[in-house]
Amino acid sequence: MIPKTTYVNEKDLIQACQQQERKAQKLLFDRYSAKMLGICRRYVRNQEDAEDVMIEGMYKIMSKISQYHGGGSFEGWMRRVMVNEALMFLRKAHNFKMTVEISNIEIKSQITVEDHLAAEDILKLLEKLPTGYRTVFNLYVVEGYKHREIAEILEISINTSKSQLILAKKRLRSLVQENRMPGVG
Amino acid sequence: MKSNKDISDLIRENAYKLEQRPSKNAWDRLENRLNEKPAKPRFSIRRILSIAAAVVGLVGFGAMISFSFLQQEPSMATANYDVETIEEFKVEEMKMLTDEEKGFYEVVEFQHKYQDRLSKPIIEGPRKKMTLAKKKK
Repeated sequence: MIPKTTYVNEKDLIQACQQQERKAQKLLFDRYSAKMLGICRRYVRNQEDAEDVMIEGMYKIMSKISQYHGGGSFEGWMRRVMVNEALMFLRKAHNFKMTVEISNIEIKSQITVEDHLAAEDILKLLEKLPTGYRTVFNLYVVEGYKHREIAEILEISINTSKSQLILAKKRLRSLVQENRMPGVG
Repeated sequence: MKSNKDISDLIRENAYKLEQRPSKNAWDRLENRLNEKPAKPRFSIRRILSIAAAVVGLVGFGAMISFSFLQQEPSMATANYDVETIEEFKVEEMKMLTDEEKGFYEVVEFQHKYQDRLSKPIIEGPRKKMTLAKKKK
């Protein structure tokens, strides 16, 4: 079979990747690698490590693409694979169980800020968070996991997950104020 | 536009903007990874079957050795179980003894047989009866 050089839609591209067509795989990489690296950077502080994680994640996506049956969004499926890969990387170096639990204190994280945060600002803020805070914050706030799910994924208690989120928000608030980020009133 | 917003909401709403171009050799690295032969699973069916076959072979070999060993020394194998052979052996042995030796042998055998009875006194009859006999005295 002669491989296609162009793919009309995403379905075509996925099918070609399932046939392990190298050109289709390259196209998929070109289309999504920047976005996937962005996800990895939210979890992994170091740029080189984040790229290693992204490459390993893309490898898993391409080698296990036959497991995607078109049930949900393809990008969503890719994101989940990438988040899992980032978590696997973090688990090697960070013990999530060592994080301290605190009582449930309500912390106001509302600040006066521009409606649009620049990508660099987000990265600057997240980079300054400890690994435990950053991971729980990303999983809960950006990925939309529940505390019960986070507790299961990271093998920690639900209370630890909740307290990590509270502390992450508190730290972010003070970081925004300390750094006098644009738009902070 | 400034507004009073939660920092979490702001990050959630703007996280999609975070895109980073990977380094130039990133695709080459991925392609090399894709060209690698997939690692064989640690416990493939073939490997499990070969281990099982080896175990069966070893057990069979062991059984064969022990079977041939038992066949070579039947007296040892049967010594504990063949009562009739032992009895015959005893009778033959007794025939060879003198009368004096036979008497001594019988005494020893009797002592062995009733050793338990000699060490433990025999208590017979109900307790009440024994008590009544004492009172009569």
